[in-house]
Amino acid sequence: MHWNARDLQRRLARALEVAERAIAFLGDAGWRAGEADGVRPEKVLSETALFLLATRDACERTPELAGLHRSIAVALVPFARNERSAALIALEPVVALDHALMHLCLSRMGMADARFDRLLATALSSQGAAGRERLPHRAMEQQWLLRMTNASPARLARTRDCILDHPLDAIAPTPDDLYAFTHCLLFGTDLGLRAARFGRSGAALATDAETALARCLDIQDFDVAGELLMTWPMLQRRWSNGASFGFLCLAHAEDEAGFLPAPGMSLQPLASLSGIDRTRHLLATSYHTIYVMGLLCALALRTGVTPRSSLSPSTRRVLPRPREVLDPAPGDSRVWCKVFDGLPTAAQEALTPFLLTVQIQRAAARRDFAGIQRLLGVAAGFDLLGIPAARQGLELLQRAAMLGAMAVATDSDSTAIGAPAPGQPLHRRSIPSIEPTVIARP
Amino acid sequence: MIKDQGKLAGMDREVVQALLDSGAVNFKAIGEAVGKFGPSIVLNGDGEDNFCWTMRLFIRIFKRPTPWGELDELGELRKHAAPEIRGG
Repeated sequence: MHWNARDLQRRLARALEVAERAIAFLGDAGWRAGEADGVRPEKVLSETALFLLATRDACERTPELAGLHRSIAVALVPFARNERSAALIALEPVVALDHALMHLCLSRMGMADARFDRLLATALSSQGAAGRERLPHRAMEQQWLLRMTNASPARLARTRDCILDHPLDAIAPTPDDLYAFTHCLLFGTDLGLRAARFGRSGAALATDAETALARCLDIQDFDVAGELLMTWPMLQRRWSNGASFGFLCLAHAEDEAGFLPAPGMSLQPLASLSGIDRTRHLLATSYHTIYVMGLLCALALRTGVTPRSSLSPSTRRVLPRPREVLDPAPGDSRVWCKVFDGLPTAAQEALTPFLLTVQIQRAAARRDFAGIQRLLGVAAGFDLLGIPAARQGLELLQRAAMLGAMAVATDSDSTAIGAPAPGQPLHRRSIPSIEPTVIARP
Repeated sequence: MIKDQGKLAGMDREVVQALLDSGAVNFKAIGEAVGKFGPSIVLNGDGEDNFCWTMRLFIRIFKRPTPWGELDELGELRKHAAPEIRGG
């Protein structure tokens, strides 16, 4: 059973309404509350432009969304093409594409402006325009923007080795890793509009995304979780059980809160705010995650690659009552735990790889090597040692065992200058004894 | 300065110590500069690191991921945040 298209449209409409308000409340000045929190208007507006471009096809197919989409795009025009943006394009050619992002998105939506096209073309033809080194995912973004200008793609350096060419860190991926992963996919596939070839197969990329998704759901980062879920429609891949479960969790959170909340969203800062400041603060801290959900729904609608509303029973041997075995903590209020507990037994059993991944990631974060070893024993018993978290967990144990066998300097030694004198003893750290090759079957 | 597996050679260390003792490196001034520009770098940076002075780095300033706490209860967010976010 695939997710109901009307429900996806409803969620997309919700994000569009927020986009309209984000322009109205944040377009002029963004939001800044003290020194610790804030968002620049350029960020909100650029992301709104990208959101509108990526959702256009899905909205145009739905009469009740097409008008709203168009009116938001029209509202964006004065921010995209004004004296300031023209000056920035003219004066800073090395970042001209960044300054022109909104203009390019609007042009691609059929709202062209020849004056800005000419100005941008002139800036891009200047000698220093390509003279900046960028991270691979940023270079892909530049190439994506450049393609929208109809300028020669050869003008920019080819994208070097990017994060998609290598397996992700399955144990402890950082936000930067996942940002690079999701944005390489986003720009490499032209927001899912074209098939793209990367250094690794679509299956391998989807496996990476599913592994990282487990971590994001466990730390309740629905923002990055939503970006990771775009992997399936962008690569035109049938949604896996883990991915469909992820979407189910996001939909549940959105339905419960009335919007998809940003990571760690708290009402506490609202206590000192009122009126328009309160509204600005709420929009500034929420709009991005809401866009992610809308974009995800639009991608699913446009590609026809929609999440499954019910999970498939596993075809392999399953762990009965997996959460009782792997995650026995009662009363866990995390969204994924609530959603999981409401699933039929067969669906819960089919999510054993997800549960194992979450537990291995948690154990690794605690440096609980014995815990990892126990979990690998469970994985071995159910033919799940091949999942990335198990493979990398095993590697971690092997490295930890090597570390335990080494004589290494303690922190107190590190204050010494140079190497210890001959005969000077080295102290060993206390490393737990581990035999990673011995994985007990349950 | 020559580094040998993370440790300064003896002569280098003496040079560093002499610089520190002489006050040639004004850490108070650096602290004030960081205090002045740090917040705007945090807000306006795009995730890449910013450094000052020469390629021999004295200070490297990173934009750290925004720490977050526990997500508030979803029903409370619906009651107190959703109406203003969605409007109407």
